[in-house]
Amino acid sequence: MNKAFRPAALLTVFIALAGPFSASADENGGGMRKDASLRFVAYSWYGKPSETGANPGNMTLNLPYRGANAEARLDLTLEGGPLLLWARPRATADAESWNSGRDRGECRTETDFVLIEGGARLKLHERLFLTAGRENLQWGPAQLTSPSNPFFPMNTRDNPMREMGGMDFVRAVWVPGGGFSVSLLANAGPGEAPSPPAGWRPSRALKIDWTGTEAGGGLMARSGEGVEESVGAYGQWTASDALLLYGDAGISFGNRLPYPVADKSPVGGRFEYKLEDGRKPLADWLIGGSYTTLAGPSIYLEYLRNQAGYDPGEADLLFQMAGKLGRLFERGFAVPAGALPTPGGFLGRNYLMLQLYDGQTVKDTSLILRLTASLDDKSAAIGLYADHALSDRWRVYAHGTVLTGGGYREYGMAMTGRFTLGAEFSAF
Amino acid sequence: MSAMKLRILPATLLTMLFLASFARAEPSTREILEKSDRARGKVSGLVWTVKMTDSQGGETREEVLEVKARSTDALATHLEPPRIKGQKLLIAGRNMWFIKPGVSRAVPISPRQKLMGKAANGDIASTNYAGDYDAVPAGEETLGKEPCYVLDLTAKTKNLTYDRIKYWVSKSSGLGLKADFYTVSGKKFKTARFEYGNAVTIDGAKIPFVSRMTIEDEIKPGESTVLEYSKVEVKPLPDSTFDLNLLAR
Repeated sequence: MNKAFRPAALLTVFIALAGPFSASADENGGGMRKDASLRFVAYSWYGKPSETGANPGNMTLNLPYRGANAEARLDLTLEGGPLLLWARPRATADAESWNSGRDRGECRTETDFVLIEGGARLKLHERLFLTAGRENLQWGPAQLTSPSNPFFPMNTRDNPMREMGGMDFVRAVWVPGGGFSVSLLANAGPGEAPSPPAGWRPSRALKIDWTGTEAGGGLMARSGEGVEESVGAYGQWTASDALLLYGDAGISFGNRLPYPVADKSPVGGRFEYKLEDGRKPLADWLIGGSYTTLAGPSIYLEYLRNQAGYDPGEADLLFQMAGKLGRLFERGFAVPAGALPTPGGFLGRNYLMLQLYDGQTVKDTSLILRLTASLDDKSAAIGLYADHALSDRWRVYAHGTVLTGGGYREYGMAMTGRFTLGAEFSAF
Repeated sequence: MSAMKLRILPATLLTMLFLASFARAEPSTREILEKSDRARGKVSGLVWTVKMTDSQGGETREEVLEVKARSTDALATHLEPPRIKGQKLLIAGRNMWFIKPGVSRAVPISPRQKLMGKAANGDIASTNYAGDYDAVPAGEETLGKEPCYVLDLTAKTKNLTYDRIKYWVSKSSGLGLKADFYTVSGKKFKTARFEYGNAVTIDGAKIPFVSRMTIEDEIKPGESTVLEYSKVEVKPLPDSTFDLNLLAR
């Protein structure tokens, strides 16, 4: 969905769209409520692709080493009577450069204009709502991933500046009382969400949520033609003023993900969709908790069991195949390009996440220090995110990640590190 | 003489009965708290604007929120400054979520996480001291020129924002005027003073309503956070107002 556009013209359109909204923002005259916000985000990043092991000379993954991005983020809301309309258009300009790999010496630019979320909600009754539009439907308490959510399992909570596009849904929400909420969802289109590894297909789901005084939870079931059936559940308990305990789990019946199998081909293996028949139940589950200290910082600890992931033998075969693929590229073989398929966001089966969040110690500054480790191959990603408010409208942020483990491990195979520096200006 | 005694005795008894009935009119601690809670937001539903001003080290910063509160539920949406406009805090009992605009994800947070400066998340919601705390009378004191009941409040569960509170309630108006907040270890860590410049109509009666809460840090003198409450509207709020599935957009 990349379209050429003229940034100046688009900006004019944005402001023209937002003008009537911002002029009357916070007004409630005539039962109409309008609101608008416009933010400009710009950031630049530098990364060091791994050039050994599974990514020799960066030929396998062909990752850029630096880039820059500028983005205009407009949020519009119009509410009148039973109808709520909202839109979140985004205009982006990206540039990426390569100093190794198949595109060494190249610099590419790309502009895009997308509606990451938007739609309409109609209140049919005080307790019944009908929504149609593009939404990023997130649920569950975990920081690392949401196994009960088949639509958006990766919640991007590691980087608060990152936005994720929504999928197209039609859903009915019934709020019967007692803390319950029942949602019927039809996922009608892929929208602007990241493509699932096995491709997108329409599906429908039933979700029941409950929120009590000190706890909450939910159940979910999804089905659809050509989509693995799945059920999920999550729960959280505010055990004390400082302690949260939670869990999140999903069971899918088979999957349409590729698994490596050794053979005598030049790359030493091929991919098979061995769980496609939908007979094998696969359970992904996460348990975790957070503790907020009296001084302010919060500590999170989570364990993820990803049963659909590769076993150590499969993971090792994947790395060997990747390395051989890269060496074929190095020798000029015309091997089809493209990233290696992996089973969703996590390659292996066992993960641990430790996170520290501090929004108190340094004035106007939020810090997130996160360690995500694969317990299978002992590789890890260590990230530090810092966000500092310079004024009521300006803030700057930095995000650095170090990936350890070396060239034949999950977190070390692609890059050894990446650093991002950015700024955000909120116009209104 | 005996006839006179016979006339005095009933009169004395009547006087004593009158005085005794007057003594019974002294409100219970629960009644005191319920009345003071009502003037601090314990109503069927409430929409108000809260301006928070935090002062630290000679610097001040402001945030403005729209708050919808009902019983133990509250939804706070940041209106100002532009940098955080649209951020939401949802409180459902002891459960709390933080929602950032644009990313549509609700992150659960603990009640201990602070809202801003000295203000806890619970400070923007309605007050329910009568339901949440066991109260013991701790004498009477004059605050300024206002005679007050002094109550020692101890949290009924360990899950409340404050473990122990010393609370001054005006004898004449029934309004909570001052509160000292203590840590579990018994150390006083902040003091709040309340003003009642707003008025709302409940069940046809106009009552004073909280307009300002000034929180002073007892551990770091000179640091304070002021919450000013305006545009107060008392109205029923439906369950859907506090439903996570309908919130992020």
